[in-house]
Amino acid sequence: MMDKINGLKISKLGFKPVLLGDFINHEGPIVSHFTDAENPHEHYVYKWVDCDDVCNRWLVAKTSEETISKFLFQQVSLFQIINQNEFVYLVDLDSDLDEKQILITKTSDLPNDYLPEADSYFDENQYEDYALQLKENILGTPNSIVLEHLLNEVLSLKRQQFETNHLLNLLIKQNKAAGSAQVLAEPESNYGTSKPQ
Amino acid sequence: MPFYYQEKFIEHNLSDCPPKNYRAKDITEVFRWVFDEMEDDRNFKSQFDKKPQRYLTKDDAAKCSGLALSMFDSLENAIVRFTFLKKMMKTKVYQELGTKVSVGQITQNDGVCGELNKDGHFNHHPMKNHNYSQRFKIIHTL
Repeated sequence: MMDKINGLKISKLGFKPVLLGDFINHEGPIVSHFTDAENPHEHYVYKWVDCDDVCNRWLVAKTSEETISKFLFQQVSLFQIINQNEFVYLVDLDSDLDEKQILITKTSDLPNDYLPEADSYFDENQYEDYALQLKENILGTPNSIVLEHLLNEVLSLKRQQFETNHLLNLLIKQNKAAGSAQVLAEPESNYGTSKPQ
Repeated sequence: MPFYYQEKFIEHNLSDCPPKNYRAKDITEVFRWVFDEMEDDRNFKSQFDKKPQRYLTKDDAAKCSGLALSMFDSLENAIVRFTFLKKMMKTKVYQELGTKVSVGQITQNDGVCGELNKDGHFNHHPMKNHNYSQRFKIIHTL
């Protein structure tokens, strides 16, 4: 018997699911990646959550290409992907893959066992080859969102390092009377900040 | 001797099942998740035989994979994989995948095995009249 759910029964999904591949599989899919046939930029994660003698129940959470990329680079977890949705679908499929019931329910009302652990981050050793290939494809994309984000992070960190070193050197010079302080080597300034006198 | 699921291979036109790169092997110890008792008929039942079947597609690759039994090359790998899936499925993992680890021997007469994955898992297509429920024994509680 499956867990009882408070939700709204609907007749069909609000999208046309197309399976892209399995993220996790053990004698059948556990977590899978879908897109909408009519809106390919809209992505969905299907997660197995329950079953009875007739149906398997799948939690279906909407996501995006950007979030999937962040997931594969461990910036968000599967738990976070699901919880970014206020509402999720619960789809009961029988052995012929017929939809016997579809519910929309508040994510906050889901049974605890339906959600993965909070630290459900991507793990290359446990995910299917499909996920690894997807990550490789992202790395190979010249204008990938993730690369751009990472570059921005690196630039920001370098800027912070330069400013921190600059401030430390000012403090050291002010206390030079102590005799033991060493001025830190400053990296080349590429950020328009004037060099200290 | 035919494969245990030979009739299913034919019924569903799975001409490439088992996959051609699968091999008969002698393995002293293989490990499989089972339920509380070795007599549980779910223990050595493939996904295809389960009710309901856990699929999201019924293409030939999924059907063939669904007719295989999952095995592990070590107790440690069997535990690590289960621990990971428990992180995804919480207590439902015990309902769906098993509660204990069993160990047994596979010989070249027992069927064919796929390549070992990086997590120590491999697929096994058994021969007819396999008696794994009598040959495997429970050694660890998950």
